[in-house]
Amino acid sequence: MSHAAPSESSTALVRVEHMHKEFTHGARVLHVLRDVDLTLAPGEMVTIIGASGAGKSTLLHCLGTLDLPTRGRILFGDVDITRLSPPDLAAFRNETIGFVFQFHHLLAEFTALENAMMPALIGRLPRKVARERATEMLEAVGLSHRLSHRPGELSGGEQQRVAIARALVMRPKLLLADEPTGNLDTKTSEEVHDLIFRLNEERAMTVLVVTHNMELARMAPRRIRMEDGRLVDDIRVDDSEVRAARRGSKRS
Amino acid sequence: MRETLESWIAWRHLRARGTRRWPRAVGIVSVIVIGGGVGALLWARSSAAIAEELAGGPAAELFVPAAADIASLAGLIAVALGVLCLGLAVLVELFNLLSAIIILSVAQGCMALVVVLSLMTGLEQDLQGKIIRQSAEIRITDREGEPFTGYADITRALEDLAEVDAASPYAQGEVMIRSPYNRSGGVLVGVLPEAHARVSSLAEQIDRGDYRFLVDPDAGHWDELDRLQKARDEAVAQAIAAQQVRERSPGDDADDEAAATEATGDDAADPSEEDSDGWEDPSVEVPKIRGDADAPNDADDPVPAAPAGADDEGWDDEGWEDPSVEIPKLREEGVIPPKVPPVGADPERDPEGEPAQAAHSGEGAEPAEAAIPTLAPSGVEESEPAEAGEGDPGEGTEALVPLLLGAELIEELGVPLGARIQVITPIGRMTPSGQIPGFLAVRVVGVFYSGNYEYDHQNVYAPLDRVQALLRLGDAVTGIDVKLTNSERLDPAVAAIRSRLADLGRDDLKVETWRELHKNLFSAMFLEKVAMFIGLLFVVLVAAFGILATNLMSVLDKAQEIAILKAMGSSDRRIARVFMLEGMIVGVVGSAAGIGVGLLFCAILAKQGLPLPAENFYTQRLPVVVSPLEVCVVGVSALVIVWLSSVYPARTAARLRPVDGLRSTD
Repeated sequence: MSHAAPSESSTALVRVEHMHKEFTHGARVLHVLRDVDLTLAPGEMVTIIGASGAGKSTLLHCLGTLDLPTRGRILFGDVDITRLSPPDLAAFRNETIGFVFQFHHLLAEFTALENAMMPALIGRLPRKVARERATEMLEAVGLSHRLSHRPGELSGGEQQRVAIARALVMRPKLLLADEPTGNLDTKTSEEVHDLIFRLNEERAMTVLVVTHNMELARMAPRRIRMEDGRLVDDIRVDDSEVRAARRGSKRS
Repeated sequence: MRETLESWIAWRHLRARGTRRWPRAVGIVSVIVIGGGVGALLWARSSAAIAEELAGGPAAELFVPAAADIASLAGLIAVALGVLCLGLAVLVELFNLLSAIIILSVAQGCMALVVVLSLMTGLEQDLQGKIIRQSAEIRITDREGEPFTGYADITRALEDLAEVDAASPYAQGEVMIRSPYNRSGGVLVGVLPEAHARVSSLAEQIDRGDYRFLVDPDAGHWDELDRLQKARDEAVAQAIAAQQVRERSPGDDADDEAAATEATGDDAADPSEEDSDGWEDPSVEVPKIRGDADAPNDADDPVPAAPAGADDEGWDDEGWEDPSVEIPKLREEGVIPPKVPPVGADPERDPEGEPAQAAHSGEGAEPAEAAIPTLAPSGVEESEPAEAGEGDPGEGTEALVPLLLGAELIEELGVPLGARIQVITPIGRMTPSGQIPGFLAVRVVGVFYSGNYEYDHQNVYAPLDRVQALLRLGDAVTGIDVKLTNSERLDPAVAAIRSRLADLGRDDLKVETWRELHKNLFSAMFLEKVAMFIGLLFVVLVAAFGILATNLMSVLDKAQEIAILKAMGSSDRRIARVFMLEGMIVGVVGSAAGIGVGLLFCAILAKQGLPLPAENFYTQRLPVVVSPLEVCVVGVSALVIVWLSSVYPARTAARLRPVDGLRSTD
């Protein structure tokens, strides 16, 4: 399954080795992930598709250290993050990983700018720096006119764009998106997809997107399909095909 | 100080969401109510001033002070309510409704604690002050409680000490005090008047009469008073006689009634009323009454009031000092029967005084006897001349022993200032027929009001030598009261006094402070205070459960928020701190507001005062003393409780798994 060459593994951003995840519900043991091996290269854009309950979200949570695998290792560079202490994990998440979820999860009492500043403040950056970076990111997602609006005053697409800006404010190496457009209409979804691809290209940031949206999946150069806790397909496609898919999505 | 991320988030959580209009309306209304209350208070104060001005004037009758009282009470309530509503409005404006309510309940608890504790401290210090004023800070007594001698040397030695302001020896014993109308137990304290005036404020507490009469009893117009009293007694007796005559022959109603009215006059119409308050100032009263009450001074007695007639004799010459001389004389006059067996079963009654008493009841045999048992003062003549003589044999037999009584006691005895009463002690002479109780005929030369019921009801003061004689103490005293130059520095003073006593070789004496002497009282008050504190702390505790509930709700409500904060890299500890801070902000604001309002309330109470009806309470005003220590204890315990109640929700938040929070979205 692992077709990664040794040279490739040394430059990999993330290497998942023999990862298992089991949940115990009373006497029953539920195998959510079975012997998952996965390598993500820097700057790679990967989509994961699969039926509900195939373990896509769990894989994402484990990669994002929100959950720990039952067995197996997750290596970021040379560091096995499954062995880090909770405070170190928190700091690791803050510096290395950005999350975008199906729901925006913005803090209702804070403005768009304040929400986007939040990771920087958690990372103990000075408030001024945090403000500059958050403003810059909100401009990048096209929301420079909505800085002082509360989440309740923003549309669904705007909320999700603020969430993306927030995820990127610490300039993470890995962006994990869990059905980022699952809650949006088609047109807004396309805007968000475009934004994600653009950010991936401009910032050379590794992006892993879990999605049900086949159109989105087709636009990514690497597609992984999951079934019953296993990675069953790992397809890389040419750039030309991807571009065609992207053009097609724009036309429709 | 720069706000941290945690406090930023916590503050935003607590802040009101959206804008509401009603807090402002409530705020405006409460400002108006406060204004009205302040106005009422000011009006009450100004009218109180007017009432004071009018007092004694002809318009005083027209003024109704009750209106001012009601206004001041209503004003106080209005201000209190207004402040409460304003506080609520401000809180709701600042915080979300749930937090505002919790803050208010914490504030209420703290306010109640501050006010109640301040009142209790006030009462305690009030009592403490009364005790110190009455008897000095330190008391020296014998270890076994026996009387001791050599007090003059000790007193002199102690007064040399820098810590000691004055020292005063005293002799005391339990006695019975008997007036013609009533009797009561009491503590007879013999003092050196000059020395005692320096250790206690008894001299300033004299309400009627004068402290100096204790030194110089002849300075008062006692003879005049006696005459007046006698006139009054006679008038009463006449009235009674007239009543009896009328009862015997109802046909002669009109005549007798006229006679009775004539006889009683206007000032003796109601003897019981007159007794209590008719004798305010002899120097005013005496000439006034002298003008219109001449008749009883005339020698002849048309009324069959035998004892009064006998008195007349005794008063004018000095024959009343010795009953052994007097009684035969009376017998000769036929006023009392030759031999009468003792009447009644009062064992303390002087057998020598009995005949006079018996004569009175025997001759009269009136039914009114029950109502006014011994009207004439003849029953309380000085019947122990040997006792009185022992103390000061050189003194003339004319002078009665001067005595200071408390306001409560004199009320109970029902005698006016200047009255002759009797002090009886079980310590008496041995005679062939058994032990005879000791008697001391005294004259009430002053009435003191200390504000302490115990003292005002129990203590009577007389010159030391006479008391020593009565109690057969010889030259011994019961103790020495010591007043300190600085009443705060008790312990060093006690040490100094102890060492001085040791120098004098008086190891038989013990030194006690007022605190030790009244240990029971003060420990009971302390216990009461602690119980009250704990009881009221439950109010804060209930509020703390409110904090627990709302915080827990807020944690569960914000599960997604907590999850995303963790996903963004917040450590568990930081999340916990956010929710700890939420609880603590509520607690700090609540207890600070509560203590603030409580202190304000105390200040108003202390300044304005809550007038207590004098007939029900011994203190006229609620004393309020704010103790900074108690306020700190209230604040700290409120914060501790609030802190404890914040711990559980904060831990719940910290333990929340981010994955659960993210899943719970749907």
